[in-house]
Amino acid sequence: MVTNNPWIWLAAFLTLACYTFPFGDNPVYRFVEHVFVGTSAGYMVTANWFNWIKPNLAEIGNGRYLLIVPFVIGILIYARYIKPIAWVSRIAIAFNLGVASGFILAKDIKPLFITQVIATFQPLDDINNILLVFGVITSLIYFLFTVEHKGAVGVAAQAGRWVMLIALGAAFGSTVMARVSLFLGRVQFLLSEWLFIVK
Amino acid sequence: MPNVDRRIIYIVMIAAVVYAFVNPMGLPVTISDYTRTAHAAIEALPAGAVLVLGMDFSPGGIPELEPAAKAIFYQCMCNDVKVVMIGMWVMAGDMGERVLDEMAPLFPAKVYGVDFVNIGFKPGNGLLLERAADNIIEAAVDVDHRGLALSAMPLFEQFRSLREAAFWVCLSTGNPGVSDWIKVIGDPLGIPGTTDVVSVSIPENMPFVQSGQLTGIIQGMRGAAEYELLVDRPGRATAGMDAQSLAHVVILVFIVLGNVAYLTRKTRA
Repeated sequence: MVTNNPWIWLAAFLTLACYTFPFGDNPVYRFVEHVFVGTSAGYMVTANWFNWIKPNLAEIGNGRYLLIVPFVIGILIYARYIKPIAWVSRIAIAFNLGVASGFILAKDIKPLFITQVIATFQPLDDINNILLVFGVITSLIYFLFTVEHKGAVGVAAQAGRWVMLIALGAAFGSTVMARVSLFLGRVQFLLSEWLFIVK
Repeated sequence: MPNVDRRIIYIVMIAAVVYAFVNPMGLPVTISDYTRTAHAAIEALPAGAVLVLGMDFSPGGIPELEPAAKAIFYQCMCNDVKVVMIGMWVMAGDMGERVLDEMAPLFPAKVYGVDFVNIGFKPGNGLLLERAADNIIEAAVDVDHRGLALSAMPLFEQFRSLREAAFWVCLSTGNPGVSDWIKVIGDPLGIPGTTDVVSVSIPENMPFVQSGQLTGIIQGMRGAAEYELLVDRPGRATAGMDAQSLAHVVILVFIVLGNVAYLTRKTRA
């Protein structure tokens, strides 16, 4: 028994078409790839229009004329398609860069750097804390390029290298787990919603 | 063995996964302290409090993140905690609707706009959160994913900004995501929160747990399965645990066989 929902059939076809790629590049996969790119672009445009641009334009219509300023700055980006005034698009880019840089400088330093540094000052009364402090110190020593990696510094740098290799191994293991989860999600969909083999 | 056709690996993997789904083995799922901590924090929220769900993922994150989103929504509705969904990812609105489609009918007494709302995607990344921390209606241009006016909803009579949230959960596949929530909402405003991230992002987010900036962490599909068990409602993540375990065993076997073959060839040479 299989579903009679045409949308599920379409989704099942697209899923199976994607999984033909490991067995070699082929026209079915290429077709699905192009469909994906096209629908993603269309979705993005539609979502931005209905969630953001249209309601903001309505706000301008309701008398919030200050919104015209960001609207005009945003429009300037399209000047790049008109050669004689292409330079004007840089105003929009400069504005975005300025805002983003200011935001990052104001927001990132304390929570993403200082708090993280403070969090490494741990009492050495627990094996996890000892490993954490050991890992931080040896990894930092590995990146100490103004001192030759010889003697005690060399041993610590080598230890730091191992710490980072273990961290990379953990990251790779997590990546494998994530990819397997993605695959499981599709298999679950095929077996339950399309073929009704499992609940 | 080192030259084994990759298609054989794929076929073995497919066979193992399908077998595990069709013949569930019921392998035990132990619940980690990280998941317990996140669950306990949400469980402790008083009735009427507002939890904000950051739907910062796309369909690629569904297998790992959606089960936890459903479980958290279920827990909140059971405890009379209100849920506001908002997202920095373009498909956030539809990801939220998928959760509501399945979970909202379980609570017929709960009303959209009163007990939960799906604001959906709004652009701006961290700047969106910054604006919503002052005035969530203005940040969302007074419109939700369904095209309804937020200002007309009873939920927003009391809840005017993210500052008034009791807890936040960022369901994240990457950037923008949990670091934005920490640096704009969690750290400066002192509002506790946690995250459910895809497995690939677990290592980069663990320092935030260790520093206390996250209240526990829900780790991918495995964490979602644990959360489903904690709310006593096993779902898709729990069902996927057997298959995930078997898939990992297959990968381990191939790694061991590959290394044995490599070492054997090296010894012979």
